[in-house]
Amino acid sequence: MSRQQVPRKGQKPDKHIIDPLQWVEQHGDYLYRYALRLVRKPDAAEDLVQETLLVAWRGRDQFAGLAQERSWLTAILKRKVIDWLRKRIRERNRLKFEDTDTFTDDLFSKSGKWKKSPKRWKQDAPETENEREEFWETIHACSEQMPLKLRDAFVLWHLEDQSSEEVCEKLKVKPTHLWVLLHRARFRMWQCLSKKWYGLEPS
Amino acid sequence: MFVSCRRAAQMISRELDEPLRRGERFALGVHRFLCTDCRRFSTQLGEVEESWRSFVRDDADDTGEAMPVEVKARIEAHVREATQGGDSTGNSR
Repeated sequence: MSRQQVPRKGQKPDKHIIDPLQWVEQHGDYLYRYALRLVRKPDAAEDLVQETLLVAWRGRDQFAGLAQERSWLTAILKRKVIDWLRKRIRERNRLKFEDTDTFTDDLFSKSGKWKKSPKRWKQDAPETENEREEFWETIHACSEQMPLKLRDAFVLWHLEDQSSEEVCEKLKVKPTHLWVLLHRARFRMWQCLSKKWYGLEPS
Repeated sequence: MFVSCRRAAQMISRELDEPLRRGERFALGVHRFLCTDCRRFSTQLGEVEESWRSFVRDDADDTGEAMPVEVKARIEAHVREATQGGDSTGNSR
């Protein structure tokens, strides 16, 4: 934001040349992958990256090389993704409560005990770069399997740096409802990762 | 102060999002102390949460696939069109 760093209009931008095509070259793949990871729709990811670059271009005076170019672009992309997810949720009213989802309840007996005790995990969390890559793939696969609204609720909840009240208000749901959605999402992820990644000890 | 495993599991999940009320915290603490199943579940769920959260929040790795060529071409074309014309900083490579 400081004057020295921003080329004024009409001046030659000698110190900090901003070139949006260079952004595509250097950060395009990265931004696209991230967008795709969160929204899971290639066409939407493309639009989001494109919009991000244009927003960044229009706001280039604010940038002034103070942060890493990539983190600046990623921050803009996150905002865009949040808006996009919220819109998807609102349009389809997909956070509407359905009590037909018995996935979590089915794990417990009538008296509220575990039907099958949670088993010990065989594997550790990923350590090497390769393992990490594989682990992300597994999380990806697991999140693909669950109902979209559960995944969206989880993603949105963790992308927004806001209180539960604010998130609930924006999504027009009650907090108790949000907890249930998050709870259901987590249970599914837990069960899926236990099977597909961690591996279970035979009882 | 007795809670079922079902109820304890709900609290274990909610605990990840917000502080529990004192009574709940106490009830959960007692339950977890006494119940191996829920103790294990609690640790595992915490780990799952941590991983999934960083999957969502952390920026993408540099190692994955590149965007498809045609996508890149479209984005480039669009960006070029939108940013060229009249502005001195719009000099392309």
